[in-house]
Amino acid sequence: MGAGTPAQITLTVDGMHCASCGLLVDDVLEDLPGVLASSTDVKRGRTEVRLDPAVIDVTDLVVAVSAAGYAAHLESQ
Amino acid sequence: MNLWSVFVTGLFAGGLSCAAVQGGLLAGVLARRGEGSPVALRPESGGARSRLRGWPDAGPVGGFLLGKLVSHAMLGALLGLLGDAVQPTPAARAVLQVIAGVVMLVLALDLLGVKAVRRLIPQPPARVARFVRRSGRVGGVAAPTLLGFATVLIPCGITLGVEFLAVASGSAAAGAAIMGAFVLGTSPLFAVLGYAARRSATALRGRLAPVAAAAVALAGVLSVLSGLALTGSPVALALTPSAQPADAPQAVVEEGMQVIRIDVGPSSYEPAIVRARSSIPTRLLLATDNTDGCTTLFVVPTLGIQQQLPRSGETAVELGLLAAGTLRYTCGMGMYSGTIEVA
Repeated sequence: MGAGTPAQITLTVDGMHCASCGLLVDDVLEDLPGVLASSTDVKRGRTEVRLDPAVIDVTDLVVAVSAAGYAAHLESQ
Repeated sequence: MNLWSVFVTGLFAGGLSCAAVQGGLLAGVLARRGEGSPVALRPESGGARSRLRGWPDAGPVGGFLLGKLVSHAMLGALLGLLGDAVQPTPAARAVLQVIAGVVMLVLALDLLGVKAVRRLIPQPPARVARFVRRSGRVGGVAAPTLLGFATVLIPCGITLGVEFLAVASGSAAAGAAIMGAFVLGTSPLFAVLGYAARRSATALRGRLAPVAAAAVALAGVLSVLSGLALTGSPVALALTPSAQPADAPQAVVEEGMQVIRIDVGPSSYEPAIVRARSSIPTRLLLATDNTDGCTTLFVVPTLGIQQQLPRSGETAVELGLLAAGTLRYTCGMGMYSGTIEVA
């Protein structure tokens, strides 16, 4: 698994209603290989993810967050 | 508030809105440590024991719930002490109850996807959230318990509402009991939805959002009604549990005074309806017998009377001459009430 240059992306996450939801989203994402760090802001419905793009792409993140019961998509820049 | 109603609030509203998510957190902790069932997102999780696939370890789940129960009961005791120190008047209690209800109603709207209300729900600082996550990643065998204990720092809307009720209870014991009953109430759904079904099933929680919203909204409406009952609102009092007037007894007249004896139970005043006359001074004799709960704080909103009753004993409350009509009284949380029909 080669390490590339870390990239930072922001996901919009819908369906979170409490701090536990934010923790769960961060937990799920940080368990994925290639995700270096995840930080969720429940009020703004956003998750900032630092990842290694050589290992993981946005689709994997969206699938993981969806499996946890929330709707996620890449925030438009 | 009656502990049973707090338990039921936890069972439905708390279980559906919070516990399922926290169950997912616990599943993650166990999967990382390789001691529980593998989570769907990490089929490669090492060390998972296949015999546990269908049902979780009782140990970690029990430890998590125990940690959660202890921290919430401790907070409830502190909030109850705060209420005791402040000695809220019936009006202040009413305000606390209404705030608790409104917080729950806001959460219900949030669960239904009304984004505008999300900013109204206080969220803990990111630093606190990180601390809670860390507590689940360290601590070895105690990690689930530490995580459960730390969840007190990240209350959801329904938990915040119950915290207001703990303040309104006005005693450390009652506050601890209220928060404890709430956490115990969340346990069954926590086990079924949150952990046993594992993290992948939190998707189910999303689909259950309307049910959770309805449960939270109902708890909120009941809390608002209880608060309004404390202000003497006839509509709210009419909706709180009380007996039918069929066999309403007449007050007993003794030496120029009419005496009304009321047995105070943990969730009732008996008889709940009594007939009295307006021309004679009235004395209430309130009898408690190992009675716990909010009924021991006796409130007559329209007369400004608030009387704390002993756990066991008989307490006289002088009402003086009563005006003709219906005089309503209620418990300290506005949950239970009774009436004196004055002719």
